[in-house]
Amino acid sequence: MKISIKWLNDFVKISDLNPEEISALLTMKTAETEGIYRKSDFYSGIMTAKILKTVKTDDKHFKCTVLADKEYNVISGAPNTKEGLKTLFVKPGGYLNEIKIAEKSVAGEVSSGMLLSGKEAGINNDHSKLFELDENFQAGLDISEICDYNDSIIEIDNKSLTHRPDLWGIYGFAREISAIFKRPLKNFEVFDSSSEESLPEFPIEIRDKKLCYRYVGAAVKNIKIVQSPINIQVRLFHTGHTPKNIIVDLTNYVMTELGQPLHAFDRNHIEKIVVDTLKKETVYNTLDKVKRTLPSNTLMIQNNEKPVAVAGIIGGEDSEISDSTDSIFLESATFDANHVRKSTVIMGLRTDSSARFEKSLDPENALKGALRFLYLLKKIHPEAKLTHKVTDINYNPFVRNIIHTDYPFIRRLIGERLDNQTIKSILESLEFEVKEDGESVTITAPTFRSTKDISIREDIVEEVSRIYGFDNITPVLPAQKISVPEKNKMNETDNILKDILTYSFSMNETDSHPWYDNKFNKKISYKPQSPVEFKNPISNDNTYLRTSMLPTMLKFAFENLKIYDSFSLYEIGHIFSLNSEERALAIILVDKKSKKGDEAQFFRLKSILQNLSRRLTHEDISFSDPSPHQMINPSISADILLNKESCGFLGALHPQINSLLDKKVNISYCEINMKFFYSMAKTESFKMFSVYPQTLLDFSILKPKEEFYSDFYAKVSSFKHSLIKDIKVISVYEGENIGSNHQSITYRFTIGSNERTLSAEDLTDFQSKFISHLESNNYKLR
Amino acid sequence: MKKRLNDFHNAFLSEIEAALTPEQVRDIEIKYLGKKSDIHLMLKNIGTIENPDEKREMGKIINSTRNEIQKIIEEKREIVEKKSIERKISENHMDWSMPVFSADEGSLHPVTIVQREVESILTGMGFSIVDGPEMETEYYNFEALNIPKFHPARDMQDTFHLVNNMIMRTHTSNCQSRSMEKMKPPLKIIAPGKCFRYEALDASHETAFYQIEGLLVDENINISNLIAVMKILLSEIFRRDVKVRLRPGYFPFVEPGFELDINCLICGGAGCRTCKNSGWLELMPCGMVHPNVLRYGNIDPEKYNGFAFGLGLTRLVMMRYGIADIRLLNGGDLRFLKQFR
Ligand SMILES: [Zn+2]
Repeated sequence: MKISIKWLNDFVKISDLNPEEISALLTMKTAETEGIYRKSDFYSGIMTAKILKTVKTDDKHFKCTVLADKEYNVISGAPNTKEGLKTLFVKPGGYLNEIKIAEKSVAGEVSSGMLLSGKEAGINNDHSKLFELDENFQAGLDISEICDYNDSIIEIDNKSLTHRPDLWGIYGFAREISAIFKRPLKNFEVFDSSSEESLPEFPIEIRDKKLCYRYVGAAVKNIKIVQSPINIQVRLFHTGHTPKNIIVDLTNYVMTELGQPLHAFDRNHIEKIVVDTLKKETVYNTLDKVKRTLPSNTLMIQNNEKPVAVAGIIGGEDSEISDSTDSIFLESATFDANHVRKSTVIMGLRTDSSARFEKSLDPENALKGALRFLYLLKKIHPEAKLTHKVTDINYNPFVRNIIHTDYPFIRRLIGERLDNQTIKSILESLEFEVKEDGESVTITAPTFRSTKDISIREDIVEEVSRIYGFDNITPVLPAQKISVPEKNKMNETDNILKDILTYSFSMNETDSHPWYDNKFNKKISYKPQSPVEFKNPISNDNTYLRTSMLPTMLKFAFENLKIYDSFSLYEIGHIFSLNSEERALAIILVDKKSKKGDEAQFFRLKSILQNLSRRLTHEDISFSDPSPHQMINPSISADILLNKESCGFLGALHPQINSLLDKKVNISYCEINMKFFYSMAKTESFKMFSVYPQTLLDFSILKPKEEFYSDFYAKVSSFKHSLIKDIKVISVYEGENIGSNHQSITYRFTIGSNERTLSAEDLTDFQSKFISHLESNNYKLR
Repeated sequence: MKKRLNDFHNAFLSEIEAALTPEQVRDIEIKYLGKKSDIHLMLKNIGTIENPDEKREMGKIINSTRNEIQKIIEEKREIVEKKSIERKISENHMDWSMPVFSADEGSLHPVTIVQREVESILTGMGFSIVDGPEMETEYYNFEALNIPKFHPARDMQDTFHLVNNMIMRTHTSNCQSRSMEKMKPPLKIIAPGKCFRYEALDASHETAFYQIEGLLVDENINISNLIAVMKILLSEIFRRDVKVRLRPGYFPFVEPGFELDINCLICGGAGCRTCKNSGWLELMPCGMVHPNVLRYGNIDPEKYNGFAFGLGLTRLVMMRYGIADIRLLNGGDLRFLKQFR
């Protein structure tokens, strides 16, 4: 929304205030302003001028003698250049849209200054001819003397107006400014229709009263389609409209002032207005020359049964005002906000009109808007005449909202000692009615705040506090009982894992989008299993939510491989299925290719996982044979188990990936459902260590290669002895002197007692018992 | 004999004088005090002196000479040992400026770093951390926050829709009603997390970003409390007193609603590109919880009220580190990530 300071000044005196101050206070109390446009920063040196003499220099150009503040020789190529024409002129040294106008040569002749089209002058968008001034303007005046040219325009952020239908017109802002600066608000003058009461009513029928609350119509004859007076054009252009002709301009003018959209039809196309919804899907040509398919139930304005406009959004092509229009039918109506909103979404078309109707306009403004239009039209064209009386079909369902509350509540919610009178006068300055009964108050909201904005006592608190000024409220901390925040296991666990992975394992944490990159998935031949699809994906490559983090992490790895050879990344991210959402920890390791490098990575990952779980519990995570996974090497992988339930996997990437990469690397990946970690509990207790000397005994045991290690270990560790404090694997050896069918696993036993120092007999006893345990299991020492 | 002793003593003195190392001192000690030393022989031979007085006298002199030699040796030993250590130290002089070879260092994502800071400030103020899903129902994301269907506010936050009729949450405010259903007031929660907006990607707009939603519900909470808590929170976050301003802002789940701006940290309020020359940065929408939202959460709005705020965590991260392009945060690029150690 663009707000003109000069226009505002019609309704509240602000000519003595500077626009920055107004803009700043509007931001603080009403709606966010986005900047101020000063016309004089861009344009200067523009004057009214009269062409005294023209001499044709070639078939296009005229050499003119122009009277402004003095006489100038000016070259003009405009088709309407003629002696006696009053128009606009920029002096040499003046500025047009920040460009300095110097004396220059046009078609071989020197031109001092320039005669201007409306577009060049910054008044409208017409560049087809010189701007034509009314005969009665004197030549040689600065343009600011004949219109509000040197205006300042405050730009308002529309987003901050969504809940304020009353602020979609300049008069609404004038009301706010009057409350903020405590200055009187002038009357909004309208046409007095009492003298036309004897005229017949115009036939108007509202068939759908739920979607059209009010319809005011006026039929006017003796219309001449001419350009608007310069000041109307200037004001409209400054507030973002393109001046067209007096009728279209006045509808826009009233909309800009009051926020009430109007529509003018060529009267020759309107016999009887019927407001009704379409009974079937209909193709309709709108005045922007687009053929649109409208669904059934779209609310239309019809001439009898023939549509002439899409209600509240856009007019039809065939009933549009044309240069030959000599009488008009003016519509000023109120339509259901949700309906207009839905229709704009379906049509993919938002107009100045629909943007306002969507906000739930005050039906009172329908009548006011029509009368304002007539007031302005009669002032400009007194010969315009109503053929029917202003006809008002009114089913307005809104009533002025009444809020019962009390002064102490208002004070309590603000937290500031405002006296009753301050509260009352703030509300009254915003046109609320306040009835007091002791400390209780009955507040009646004005109609223009009753359509959706103000309905509960908290709304009243907002009105009072914003005008009073949030900055004037003294900050006071809440008086609350001391309470200890609840612990969040997920948050704590995430933080522990991140610290370990980052600081103990030197990994880098990433953060990624939760959707797949279809292109990348295709590249790596990854096919997700029943992923959730977007109805409105951000692009054709991102149509699914991820079911696994693997492609995301692998893509990061591919990207980083362009620069780095070896790195490890991790992320705790969300993965999705149709009816669930889980958090997963993903780790990807990348190293330069080496012999058995993939196995080394696998065991590195395994040790990281064990480390993580030991940090969260005292137990080891367990593993099992891998289930098949499309991206993982089945020979170098495993599943991760929690209570015998698989909750993740780890392994080397399938060798097929390597063919996609230039560099020779080993990549391993692990993904584990975080609920595994969240469910872990750590019991913290201390066991007294032995203060007596302990003995380390190493045993190298020959294990057949084909035997699964965990089976082997289960048998070895089934040996129970009271002196065992700890067992560790310290080496795994394969080599010639033990035969190719065996591996030698060396265990280091820590032997000791909490009660005494061990004797030589204790050790020989332990050794012989362990060796006989091995023999009974058919194992030999190396 | 006296002369012999005297010669012995003098020979010792000149030798000990020349000694430089602990080894030389040890050799001298053996030579002059050892079992084969002259003084040892002299002591052995003292019995051959017949005159008892002379005998006693000689014994005394020998003993005192021996003691003196012993003393000088000890002194000398101490000196040369000290010198020897000093020599060893100075011979092994090291260049401390030589480079070290460090292994790769890990890094936390900058969002994690700043999120932890803010969480620690807020938990320190008594707020509990809660979680909510990213894939959310329209009920928790909109309806329960007083945003009915076709409300224009749904327009303001264009939404990702999914085929299972769920959406990607547009804010972590989805945790408001979820928490109110589970916990009774007084309620003090924060909900950090990722949110999604259906909008075109550029340097300052991401389809995904982080937010920390805060909610406090108790008896007799007012606007003045909200301002005070926000001021403390921001001073803690920026580690200095920050100038804030509150202006009207419209969010259906609060009434009154505010936009909280802070004095631009880049230009200090004079106006610059970051703050679009206004001197202020929009940082945090907030407001008093709308009574309808309390009702949706089964809390009696006649008895309780409260305030809510939404801190743009991603925005904060960008301000903290001077990151100009938001897309770096989701790019997984190690050249970016490795900087946050
Ligand atoms: Zn700035």
